[in-house]
Amino acid sequence: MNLRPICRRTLALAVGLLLVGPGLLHATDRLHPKVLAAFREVVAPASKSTTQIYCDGYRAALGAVVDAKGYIVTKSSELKGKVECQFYDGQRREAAIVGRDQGLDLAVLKVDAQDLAVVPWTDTESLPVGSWLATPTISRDPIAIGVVSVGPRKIPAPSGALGIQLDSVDQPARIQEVMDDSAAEKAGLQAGDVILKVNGKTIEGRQQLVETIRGYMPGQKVELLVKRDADELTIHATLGSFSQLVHGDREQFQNTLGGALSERRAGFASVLQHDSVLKPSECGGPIVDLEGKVVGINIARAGRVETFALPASLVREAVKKLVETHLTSASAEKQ
Amino acid sequence: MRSWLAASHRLAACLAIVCAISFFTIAARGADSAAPASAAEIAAANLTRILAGAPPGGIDDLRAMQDRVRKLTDQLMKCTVGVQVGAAQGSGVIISKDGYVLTAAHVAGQPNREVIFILSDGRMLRGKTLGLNRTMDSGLMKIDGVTDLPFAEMGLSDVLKEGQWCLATGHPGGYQSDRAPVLRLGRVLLSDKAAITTDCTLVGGDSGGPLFDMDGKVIGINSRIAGPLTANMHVPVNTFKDTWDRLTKNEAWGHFPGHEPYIGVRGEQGAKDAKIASVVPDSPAAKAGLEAGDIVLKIDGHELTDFASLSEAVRERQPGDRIKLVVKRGEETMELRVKLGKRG
Repeated sequence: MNLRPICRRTLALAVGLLLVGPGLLHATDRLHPKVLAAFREVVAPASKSTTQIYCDGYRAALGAVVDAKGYIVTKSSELKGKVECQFYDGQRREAAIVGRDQGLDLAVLKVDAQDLAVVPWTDTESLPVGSWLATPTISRDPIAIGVVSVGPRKIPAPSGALGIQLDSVDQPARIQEVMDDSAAEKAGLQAGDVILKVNGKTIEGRQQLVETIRGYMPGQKVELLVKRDADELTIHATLGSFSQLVHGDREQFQNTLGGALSERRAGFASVLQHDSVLKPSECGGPIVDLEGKVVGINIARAGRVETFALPASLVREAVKKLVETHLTSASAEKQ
Repeated sequence: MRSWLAASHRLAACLAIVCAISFFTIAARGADSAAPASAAEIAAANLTRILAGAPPGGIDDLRAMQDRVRKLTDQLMKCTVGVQVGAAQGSGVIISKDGYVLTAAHVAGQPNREVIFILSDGRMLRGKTLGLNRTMDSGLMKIDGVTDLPFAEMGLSDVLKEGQWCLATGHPGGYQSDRAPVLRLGRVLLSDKAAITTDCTLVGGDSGGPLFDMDGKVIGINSRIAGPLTANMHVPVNTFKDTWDRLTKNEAWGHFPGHEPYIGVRGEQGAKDAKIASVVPDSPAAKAGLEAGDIVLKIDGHELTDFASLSEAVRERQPGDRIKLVVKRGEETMELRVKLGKRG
């Protein structure tokens, strides 16, 4: 097993790899079934209002029933293809995406139902650091537990970076140099390439390319139309970040030790940080305090030590707007 | 006890109340020793059992655990610091009011380096790295010119039981001004003299931060991780106590795992001097021109008595160090320069 020192940035040379003999035994970790079972009573009410969301047949996210008439909130960026919701009673229904809030990465789904149990929202605004949190699913025990690690704070959206040096002339957007280990290098871009389009948008020159790329976040995939000599090629690049260009992949590597991260994991107005371990496909559902009240919606697996939840008040406000907009447009259609 | 009294007036007041209650309890039980234990006593004993690893039975047990964690949090945050040493960012924990800080050796790097400490209230203080033990990854630092800092007491790392609950703090990703130290709750999975393994998840920047027991005492220092989320290793705090004199005297010793120095010679058994029996091909010794049959007389000016003294002298150095050997080959005496490699 490789052991890695966890100081940030430097001393990559100071400690290398170490082999440990026997596998790690842990009969008593915090996710022991007996510990999860202690939370059964805590998650019972919220699990009745939790849905398992399938996209094209695969488990893509969890969701929370926010209106008895069949409205469900979930994580927007995990949705694709045919969407279905499965409930605590095992019923599986087709769902339509009726609204999205790109800023919070929330989507509201609608299923054909009349009397769904709505999640028990909390009334309290803030939960002290160290409070228990449990993530219900549509089964008896929670899928994860943890504690509040950091109180609510904003997570700014970092801008994406390709890692290229451009020609100083503005037109066209010609690559002068591709930086080592950058997103551009991994995607196969080369010095001399001219970037013509980003996700279908025509790029006139250097400045426009810089602004366009900054509009995306690290981790997002972009499709580039590139002119190389006489050929035009389509190249897919997964954007990196500035910190990655400066510090290399070490930080990113450590953060993915132990599991994948959500593709969209930054750019939130406010999140509660907790230490529950979730897969990206286990985000989108409710998270409850020890009283069983829903204090937020898990919105991202953001690092090895961090999972983010949008606070309940923020979600309720956004959901209200999305449902109202949907109802207004639906009644307008009828007329 | 001293630490709590020093921490703050509020805590001192809490302590007074706790003392008063226990006095009352003792007095009451003294009057009637046959009286059954009170509900509060039963609850306290139950919580102790759970924190030591017994499974919680349900919501009441979870609430008792939560009350304990919430009560500790404020104090744990106050004694957790961010540290910057050169370009490295890590964490540390203040363990005395005059500013001794425990950290990881790989954060400190070397003795006598300038350190900037960032407290949880945003205060930036200056200080220096003191001693470090690379083998254990323990490092000591000292904040300059302070007399009244919040601090955590050192606990015992040799009495830890598999399954007992613990808390880790630190600055994952480095110190961020809009974020307090980050709390994680977990359990001790393995514990021995070399390392404590927990499922308090750690990542870059957490290095040097504290692992606490459920009484808020430091039992370990965050050190390293491997792939699984259950592979978070901490330096046992007892090593700091056992080597306190060396650490405060700015000594640096030991080797980071995988960075043991290597020269590549074998000694002749039974020889009364440092006679080389064989030289490993392509090793640093071979590259420097050392040959079987050579007798090493000196290393960097120090006389060697036997092969063991040569091994010891090499172990005291680091991979990459250049050493000067005085070697006797037949009747000839020559000087050879060797650049040490690393083992494995």
